[in-house]
Amino acid sequence: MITRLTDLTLRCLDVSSASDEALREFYTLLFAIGVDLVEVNTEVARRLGEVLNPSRTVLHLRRASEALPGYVRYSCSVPDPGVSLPFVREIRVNDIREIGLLTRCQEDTSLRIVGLDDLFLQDFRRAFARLRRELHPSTELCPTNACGCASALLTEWLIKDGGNGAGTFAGTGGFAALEETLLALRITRKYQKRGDLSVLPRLKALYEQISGQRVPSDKAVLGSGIFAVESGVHVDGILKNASIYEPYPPELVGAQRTITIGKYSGRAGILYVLKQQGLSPKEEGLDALICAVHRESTLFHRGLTADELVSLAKEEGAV
Amino acid sequence: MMKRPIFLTDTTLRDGEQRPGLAFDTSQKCRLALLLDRAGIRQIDAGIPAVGQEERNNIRRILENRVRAEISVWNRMNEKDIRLAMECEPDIIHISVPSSYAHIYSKLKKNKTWLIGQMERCVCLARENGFAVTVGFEDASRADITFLIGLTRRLADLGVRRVQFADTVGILTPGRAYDCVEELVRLGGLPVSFHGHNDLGFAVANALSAARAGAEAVEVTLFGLGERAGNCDIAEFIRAASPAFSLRPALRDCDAIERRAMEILNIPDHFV
Repeated sequence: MITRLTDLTLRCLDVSSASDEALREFYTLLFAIGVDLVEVNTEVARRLGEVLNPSRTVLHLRRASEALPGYVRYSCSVPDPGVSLPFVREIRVNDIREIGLLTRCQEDTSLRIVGLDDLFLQDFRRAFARLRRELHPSTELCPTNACGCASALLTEWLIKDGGNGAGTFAGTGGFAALEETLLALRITRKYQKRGDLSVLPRLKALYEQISGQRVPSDKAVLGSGIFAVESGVHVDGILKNASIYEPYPPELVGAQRTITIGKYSGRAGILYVLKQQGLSPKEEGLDALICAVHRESTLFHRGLTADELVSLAKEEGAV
Repeated sequence: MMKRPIFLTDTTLRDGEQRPGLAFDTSQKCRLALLLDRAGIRQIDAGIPAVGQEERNNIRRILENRVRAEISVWNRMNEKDIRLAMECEPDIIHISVPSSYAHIYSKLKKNKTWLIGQMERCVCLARENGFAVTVGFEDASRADITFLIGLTRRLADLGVRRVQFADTVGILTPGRAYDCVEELVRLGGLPVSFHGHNDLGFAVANALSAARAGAEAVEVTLFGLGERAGNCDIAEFIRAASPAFSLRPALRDCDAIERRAMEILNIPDHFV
């Protein structure tokens, strides 16, 4: 089982232009998706007001002397050994060979390892076994994303024997995208339900509002376009049984499936959209309509709207 | 120490273009193929002949302009599609074989005996006409690995060049990707390529794991274009894999390729 998952988004983001309401809802919803602790900077902590739950919040400080009492843990860019508080000890490890340098931390119960970007170029299972053997079981892994593998690394760290991990929403700040890890753990069926991922669209909307950054439409788990289907083979399969071409039900992440029309549309998709429009397609003219759809899509360099499809269907005598 | 080479197959023109809303014209496809070819890509998946006459014309144009890359075409597992592919005279005829029980029994509504017979008929048709053949195991990540190994051994007897392990719905984790590909390479008797999707955000990680497990080739697309959350992004893969593997295009060329591809494709900002 996962022991503890920490979200660092509100430590990384510049929240100066966000409203307090958005920050508060975002913070609350992070717990709803299955995060155990949320790490925030001092400005966010102040603005969270009464929704702040110090027993589930890690306070990130610029200077250790700024610490306020009562939080479950603290992290600090400039640690001060003179301040007696439960600090996270954050150590950057760029290469698994550097693990040897951590021998002095073997008994450290507050270690967070940041880095290990390129671990999949090596035997990552052996590397993880070494980390578990040589470091305290409470060690938290916080992979960075220079190789585009941080979420996968965090998932592999948690998937077998459990452990502690850290990341961010949508991979903010170059860390693991926690929604990817949470979903991967869910669909591998090795973990019981941890949280409700159907709130992800709301969380994404808040994230875009707070950060001022748009989440790409093809972003794994979160993208607005990831359940749009166009190609004939895939539409045909999905209409027979959605699980044939879907990795998981869209509803699991609060999304909906859409069938779109374009260059790769086939008979099944075109018939489906025409029927959705309340029309009764005719067999004659359908082949010509498919050709016309491919031709028009290529001409416009895009997919076709339902209205455009209906017009074409009338022209080709398919309705 | 010499780095082991990994061959890249670019499938932007086929799987990448299947991203809803994208549609490339002949000129874009030809220029893109030439860009990748000149950058040293090993293989280009140029399209699906069964889509129509225009697609077949595009494939022929790409073949005419080709410098070094091998040009392959993707086909469903039926003889009509294979005959249309042969008309294009590609270097490689790729045949997609649905391989999970969900695909065989639920989508095709057939059984394994039918599948093996149909696969053999299609492969033999292309081989007897002198074409190099690769076979893709569609939805391999949800298939029985023992079944895939059996199919691979049969395909080796039929003279197939390589099989492709396709994580069609993007549900692999790197550990499972490694285990599946390693077993297929070790016991199947044919080189293996890996085709991954990014539904969990793991496409690059899975491709790296597959490469470490002995895959000969990895399939990629420009900007990770593709259905749903897309495919393995060519530039991201090259950046991640270059320290351990020898790759063409080279890492130093990635930025220029992406810039030029963006100019050619004129993709709206929200697509990448």
